[in-house]
Amino acid sequence: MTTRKPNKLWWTLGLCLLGAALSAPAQEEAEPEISDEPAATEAEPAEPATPPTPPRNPRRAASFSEALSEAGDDGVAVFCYGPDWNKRSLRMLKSFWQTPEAEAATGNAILVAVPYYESPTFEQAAESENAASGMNPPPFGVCPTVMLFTKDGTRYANLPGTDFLGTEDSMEIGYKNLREKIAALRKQQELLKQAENASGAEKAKLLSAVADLPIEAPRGLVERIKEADPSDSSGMVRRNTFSALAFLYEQMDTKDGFLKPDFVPDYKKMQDACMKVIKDEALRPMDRQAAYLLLIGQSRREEIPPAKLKGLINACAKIDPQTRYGRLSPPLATNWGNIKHTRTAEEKREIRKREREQDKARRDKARDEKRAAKGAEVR
Amino acid sequence: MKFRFYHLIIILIGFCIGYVISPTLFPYELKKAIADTQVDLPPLPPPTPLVQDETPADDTPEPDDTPIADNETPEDDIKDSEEEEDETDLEGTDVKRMTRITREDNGRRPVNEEKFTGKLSPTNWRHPKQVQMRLANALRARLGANPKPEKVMQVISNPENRLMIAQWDMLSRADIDSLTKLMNDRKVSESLAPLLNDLPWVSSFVYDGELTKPEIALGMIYHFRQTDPNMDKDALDDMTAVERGVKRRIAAAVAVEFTRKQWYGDGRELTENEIKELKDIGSPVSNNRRRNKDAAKKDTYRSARERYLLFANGWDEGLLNSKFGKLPGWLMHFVCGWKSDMNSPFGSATSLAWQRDNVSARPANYTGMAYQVSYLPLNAFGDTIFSAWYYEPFSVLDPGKHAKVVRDTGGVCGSLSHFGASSAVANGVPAFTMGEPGHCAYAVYHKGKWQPCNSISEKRSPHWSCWGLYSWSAMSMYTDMYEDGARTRDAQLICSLADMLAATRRPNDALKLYEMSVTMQPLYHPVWEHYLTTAAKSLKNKPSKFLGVNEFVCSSVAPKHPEMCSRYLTEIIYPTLLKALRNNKQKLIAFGNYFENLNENEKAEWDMEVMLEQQYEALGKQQHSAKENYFRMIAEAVQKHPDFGIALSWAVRKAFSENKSMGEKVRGMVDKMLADMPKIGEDPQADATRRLLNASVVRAAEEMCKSSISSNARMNSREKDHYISLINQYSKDYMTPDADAKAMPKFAPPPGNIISAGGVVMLDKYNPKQENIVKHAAALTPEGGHILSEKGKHVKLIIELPRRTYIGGLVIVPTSGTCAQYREWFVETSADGKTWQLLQNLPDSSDRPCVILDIKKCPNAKFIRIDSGAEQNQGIDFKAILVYDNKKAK
Repeated sequence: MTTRKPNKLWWTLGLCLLGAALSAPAQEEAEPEISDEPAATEAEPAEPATPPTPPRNPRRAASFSEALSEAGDDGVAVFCYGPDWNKRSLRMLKSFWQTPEAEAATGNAILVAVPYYESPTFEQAAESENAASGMNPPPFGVCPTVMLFTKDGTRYANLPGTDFLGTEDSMEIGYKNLREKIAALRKQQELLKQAENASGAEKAKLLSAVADLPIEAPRGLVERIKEADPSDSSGMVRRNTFSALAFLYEQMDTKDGFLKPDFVPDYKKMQDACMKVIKDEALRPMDRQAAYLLLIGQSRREEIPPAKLKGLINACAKIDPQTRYGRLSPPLATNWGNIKHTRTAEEKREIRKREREQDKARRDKARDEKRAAKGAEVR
Repeated sequence: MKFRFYHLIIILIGFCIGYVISPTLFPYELKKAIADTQVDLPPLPPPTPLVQDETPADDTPEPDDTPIADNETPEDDIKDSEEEEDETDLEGTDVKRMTRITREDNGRRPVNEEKFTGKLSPTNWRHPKQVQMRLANALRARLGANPKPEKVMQVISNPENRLMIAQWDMLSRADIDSLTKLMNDRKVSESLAPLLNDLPWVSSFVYDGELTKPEIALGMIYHFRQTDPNMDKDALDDMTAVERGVKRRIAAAVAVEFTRKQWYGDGRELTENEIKELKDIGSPVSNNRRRNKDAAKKDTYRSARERYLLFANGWDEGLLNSKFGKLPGWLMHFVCGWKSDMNSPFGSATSLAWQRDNVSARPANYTGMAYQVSYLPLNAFGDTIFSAWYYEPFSVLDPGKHAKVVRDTGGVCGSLSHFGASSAVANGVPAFTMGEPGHCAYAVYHKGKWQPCNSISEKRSPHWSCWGLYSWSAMSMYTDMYEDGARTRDAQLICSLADMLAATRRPNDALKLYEMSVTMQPLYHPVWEHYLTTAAKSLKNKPSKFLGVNEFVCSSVAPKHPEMCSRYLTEIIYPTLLKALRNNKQKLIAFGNYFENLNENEKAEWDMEVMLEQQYEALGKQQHSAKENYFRMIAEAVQKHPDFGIALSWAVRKAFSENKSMGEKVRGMVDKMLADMPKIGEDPQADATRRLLNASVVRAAEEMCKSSISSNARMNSREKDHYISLINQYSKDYMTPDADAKAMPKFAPPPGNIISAGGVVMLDKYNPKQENIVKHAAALTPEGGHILSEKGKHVKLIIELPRRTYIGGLVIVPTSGTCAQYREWFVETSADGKTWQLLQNLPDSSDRPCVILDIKKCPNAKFIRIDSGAEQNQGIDFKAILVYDNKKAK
């Protein structure tokens, strides 16, 4: 008995030390869990678990920089989601992004998923930073968003929200958009290659076709078009430098969009300017339609007969019924084509009088210019 | 050796010792497990009485056991209260003790009502009047006569009593006949009784917003329950205790806000005026409003139902920001009570759903979300944003999705800010829009405060009423109050008890409870109104006690919310207090309480002069000594808090208008104040203060002369002297260093000396918004300043020279640096400022940086007038205008 007592004591001491030793390594694990905002996170339930990393798939990378290093011609596709604040995007990560359909829709692009946390722990912040290294966050921080990048890291498309990615019940919209963008990127590369071997107007046309694709054009494209066709014989310089907004502001005689108090538009002059743009087939359909819209708007303000207004609206739609302005035209023809004018006969007389005066002033000016030109010739 | 049981015990002891000795040695996993279990712990118990009463709370009789309305009459209460009348007041021991008790608890805690279910059956609820009486009687019995603060705290700490108080309060706000009519329907009473017996829900329903017409709100909620039978069920599995019952809270928030703002149909036909107002053809806004109002006649709760379903379904499906479920009730009101489609197209369920699905971001990102919309005052048709046609043609592309239409079309500040705010709200993040001078901004609740977004000014008027006020100060106080949730809820309950006592003719007890409530939470606006109105009546003839109230208001509210404090003072306290106070000494003490409590970080971006005028008038006529002391008090206050410089400028102006000697005395005070401060450039930290003070004084001078300047009238000599001396004295500090002055162009001046320095500039088209009159004086000196008028034809600028003399030359330096526009301008002179003689037109100086007029026939004049002519719509925008004398004539 006397010999066993010290044994027990040693056992006790030994086991205590064992217990302490077992607990010691856990300290290292505990530290990263310290949150940025302890008060906020302590009261919350456990953060939604970060989705388990799928087994290494050559089509998928853990971070944007890693994806870029492995990217081929189809570039990189990034899915941005908010694990701790946007449940829908978290669900879509699994049901939409981590699927064979997503891989099929993105051609040979390398896929990455980047989490954006609202209240991250240190570990989560590091995870997010690592995944997004070398990449800007999605515009306005909207999630879910798919951003598409070329292999050199330039963003060429952005697909935010359900309008572009579809809802959880109809994800085919998202896959369709992805396929369309990837196809556009391939087309862009093909056109750029062709353009390298072309010159002059032909090159300008090829480069302009790049700008027409439904993805962001590469930087410096307009300068390259100008360089290829300095005389604009193809009309492509005009096509790519025309600004519908600048045209609108010029016609409305404003620099900042606010009309001058005494501004009275000259309808005839505006009509001529608009028709010149509309007839220029080198311009993009939407730009020509923008000129039509200005003319339609001014015609409505001038209270031209509804039938004429309807004619203008229909003519606008004919240029390209698929653009925003083209889709706008049929309902507009119905709504505005039947406007009942509220001006009195006296007001109409006033308008006609004003028009006559403007006509006269225009004629006088033309005559004066003609005389001045003649005088200059004589001298 | 065998492993025995005691070995296990020893191991455990080992772990425990390890944990005690060093918490860092405690295994992380175990720590986390404990933390996880803590999350799911039941809610905290209700706040225990801060002072323990001898009677334990559990001994409080059950409501059903309480003898109700039989053994006690209001007359008994009156007797009780009369016997002990006036024993306690603000200076009494009870309230002092309460102050100590409540102020010691400085920590801000959120409201966390214990889960408690009342016992009133659906049958009881079919008779709201009787329920109200029963509740009142039971509560009065529990409070007893002349309740002490400890007793009140004990009563309100019991969850059953809290429920009863909230129920009574709700019933007291209702039109009982309409409520009876609603609740008499068996289905309604059975549907609503579980809600009305649920303490957290009733508490939130009554106190988290401004509940008006509960009978309509309850009708709405019944309608929601019919539409959504799963209102009480939580669809998501991973909810915390805080998040459970979110849909009930959504229903309460929607109902309270839509009732308050009258976004429901009332079954009546639209009036002629309303139809006329909505008849603006082509405006999607007015068309929607009209359609929605028409629809409301058939479907009273359509708009509210759509809003409820938007958030309830959004929450169930996990489409909202995850923090939405944890929002305190008052913030949920900002989300659920966002504009309805009856007053804004941004409020339609379709538009909000689109934003929820397509503009979902972290709260911090909503501060810049407005900039998704392009700033375009003209649309593609050439229609301006101010016309009804701007969005109309595009609305057909995305019917109902106004936010999408706006994003794709563009807009100006209003559209941008509405887009930003509604994006946040659609995703469950609190936000509201607000007006600023000539601008629309918005604010998003992030990191515990309202973050102003797309904002250009600090003068803000939120488009959200806090207690009927649309001021930023009220919003700030409202937010501070609800952030201090637990204390506020207790104060609200005490206020309800006070209301109940007041309604049952126990005004003295009511007053004591109001005092308790304001002591507990000085930021609770409604109780101040009740309390001050009651106190004003009962303390009418006790000025010293009323002064105590004044001091308490000032010390509690003024430091952080000076505007709200001045509102209380001017609207409620002063009308009674100033009549009761016998001499100016007492009045000055009362006024001093306000100034002493100002916080130096607050900015006076509000109309402080209303209060100052009231205080000044109260001192009476011919009381020069009191007025002098009053001005001194203001000067000292402003010296401590230069942000309130507006008070100083008011004082200077007022003093000069009183009489010259008073003006000089005040000026002396200001001079001394400035003399005590280091000069500009000596101490960078003091520079800002000195400039603020100088600016205040100069602003006073501007104000003093504004009427003379704008009316093109001659100043009288006294005004002019003061104006010139003040401007000259203070504008130097204010102006120096002036970067513009260094940019004066080089030119060959006319022969003669500059005689304009020290003169006075007057404009007939004065532009108070853009112009700084302080710079006028410098514009008459070689250093240069700035003179800016409004545009027009025949804009006139008059210079009154310091003395009458022969004028030999004139130099005009335009701010733009070009002189092409002055061809039509001409100069006139006058000796008396009444009869004018044409001197000459300004020469063509389009290729020069300034206009130089070398006058051949030198007129003898004291006034010079420059006229812009009738041809062009121009304004004066001069850096300098210098007048030279004629050496030869001398």
